[in-house]
Amino acid sequence: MIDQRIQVLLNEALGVPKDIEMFTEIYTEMVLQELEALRLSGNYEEDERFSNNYGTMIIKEYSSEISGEDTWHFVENNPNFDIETWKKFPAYKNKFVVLASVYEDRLFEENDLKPSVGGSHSFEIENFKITNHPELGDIFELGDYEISVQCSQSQFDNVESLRTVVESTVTHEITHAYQLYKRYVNDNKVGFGSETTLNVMASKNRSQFSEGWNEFLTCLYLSLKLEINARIPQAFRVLKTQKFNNYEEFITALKNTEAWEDIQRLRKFSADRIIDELSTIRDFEDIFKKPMAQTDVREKINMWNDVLQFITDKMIDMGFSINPYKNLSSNVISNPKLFFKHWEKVFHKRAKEYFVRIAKLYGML
Amino acid sequence: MKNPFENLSREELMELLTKTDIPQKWINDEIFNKKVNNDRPKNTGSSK
Repeated sequence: MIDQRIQVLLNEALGVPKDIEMFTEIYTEMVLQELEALRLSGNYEEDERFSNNYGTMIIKEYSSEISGEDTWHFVENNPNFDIETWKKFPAYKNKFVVLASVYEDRLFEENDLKPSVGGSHSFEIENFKITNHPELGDIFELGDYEISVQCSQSQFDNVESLRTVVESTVTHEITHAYQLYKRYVNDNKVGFGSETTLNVMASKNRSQFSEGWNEFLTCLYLSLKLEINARIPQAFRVLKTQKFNNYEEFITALKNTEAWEDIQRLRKFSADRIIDELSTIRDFEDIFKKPMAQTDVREKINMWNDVLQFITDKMIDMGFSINPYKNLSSNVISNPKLFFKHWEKVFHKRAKEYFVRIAKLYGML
Repeated sequence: MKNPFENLSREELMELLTKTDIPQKWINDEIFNKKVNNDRPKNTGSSK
């Protein structure tokens, strides 16, 4: 009963869908089993990397692919599978790519590194539809997942130790699939909408010269509502494994989550600091680098509206549902400081909203 | 400066439009590199 109450509260307060719970549990189990199978196979590539502190390091790179057929077989035969729950989110035959980069223990131990799990979800617009299966009814093939683990040898040898971090990433990616599904079912719209343009910008417009610009793009990505919506259930998965006696203890635990890092990053974004970084010469290298960084950033800002319009037009051509792009004013575009100030305001507002939403988790844990 | 998306193939653009969380890898790498100072790849790809 308490679990049900938590779920209802979660749904209402945060929009974290109960419908993804079953998939989170089953796919997490599948990924952990795949990691264990990879470990037992002993089949890896060696990657050499150099570190100033450690010299040459050998990293074991494991990789495998689980076909859509196999994932569905795993799902429907899992003891947690419930057909009525599944019908609320009838995801079917999703391909998984599972990757693991395994490092020497000393590297993780001496640097206080935790295992990290990256993920991504992608879909094929041509197959973005609900079809009817003769036995199952409506099914929705939502696309592919990639789960990428970075851990130490000891952590890899005890795959169970990776459960929480794998589960939190899996739930993040399933949330993206669920966002797409609900948008399609409720509004008959394909894709994430206008935020896709900013996601594309953040993914493919980095600067070779300006760290400040790249930090701006990272914050742009973290500020997307589609991202924050996926990061709340992700944090919930981590926090629910811990016990709190009071709000202070909750905040202490929260400070160890990626969500906290995200919020701090958005809060600390400073237009003045970027402008300062672009204009201050601190060493010999900067004499050559800074003018290039200034030119590069100025050109990227000058093209901002054109690039987003270009992406929007392409999306419309390809069949995505998206509203026309709303230009930033010429005043903002013509002045880098005003441009970054505009985004600073957006990022700080999103940081506040993100924190408020995540703080509400306290009442549910 | 050219529009960085202009010369992408349809497939490349489609991947960008439909894939989430590409920047997360940079965030993870940044955290890792900051802690380890693992700053430059030497070479890759030798098989076991």
